[in-house]
Amino acid sequence: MTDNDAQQGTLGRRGLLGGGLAAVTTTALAAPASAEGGTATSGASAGATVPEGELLGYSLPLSARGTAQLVAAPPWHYVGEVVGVEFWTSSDAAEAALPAGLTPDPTTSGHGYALFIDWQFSGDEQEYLDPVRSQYAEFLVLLDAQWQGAPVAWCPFIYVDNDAALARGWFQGFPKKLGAIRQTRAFAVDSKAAPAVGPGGTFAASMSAAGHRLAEARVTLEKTATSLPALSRPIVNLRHFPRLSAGQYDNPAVHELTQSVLDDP
Amino acid sequence: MAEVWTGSGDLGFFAAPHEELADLKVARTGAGFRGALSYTVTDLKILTGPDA
Repeated sequence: MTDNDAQQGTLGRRGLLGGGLAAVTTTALAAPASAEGGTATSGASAGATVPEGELLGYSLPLSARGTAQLVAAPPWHYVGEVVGVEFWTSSDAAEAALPAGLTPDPTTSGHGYALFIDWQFSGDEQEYLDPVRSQYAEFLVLLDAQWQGAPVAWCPFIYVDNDAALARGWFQGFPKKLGAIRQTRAFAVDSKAAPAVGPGGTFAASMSAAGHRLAEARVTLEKTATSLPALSRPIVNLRHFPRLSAGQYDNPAVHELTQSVLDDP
Repeated sequence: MAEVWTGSGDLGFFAAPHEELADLKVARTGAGFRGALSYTVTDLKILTGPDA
């Protein structure tokens, strides 16, 4: 068994098809063979409910050739440019935004970050050569919190402008919605149409959704740094997939806190 | 991460129907920053529930 096989099996047991979007049971589901972006699995793991001869793919839509899926199996590689601002809200507001299981961080009450990111995504097949699909923008908020006394970051809100990014987010527990996100760009040539990436260079960013401007930021650069102020804490999310069966609306198929695993590329 | 710059930052959240982002009213801001980042996702740690 390859690492990828093992990983797909693990992911499968945690719920394929968006972790419950199409889950007819809460028992194990094995990842079917994927024709794109992943190694085909030869069989189902224990407790699998995917029937023999199922359509192919990691995510919906499963299909005859397995290439129509919205999201192919990992690895998911990301590279991006972020414009961000550190902020403080009230401790009450921050606490109200936390899910059950997370507690406020008493050492950084109300502290968080707003991040605007221009992303380029790829699997292992140079998907970045399809820029229409691989490029997207994202806005998210991270709030300081604690999980069992350890510092973590909780993402209460996040917006993207790409359907695959939205789906990958839901699979991980990021509560993504659609929005329009833009940030000032820089270029490797002097121009009055772009800021300098250097002292005094000012960058702006904004996010709107459903016709409403929801967030604006402006950043003026002063000095270089060795690390981003944000992303120093593990990100904890909530994978939540409700049931549609009558009488089961308050009994979600999946409801679990997760911790993102962000590896060096 | 690369080409990371820090400085000052301003931020505002605005109320809209069916949104609660502005409930996190910005009381004050700290550092502003800009930079490049990259990572790879192949796994997810489950903290609670039957698969934890």
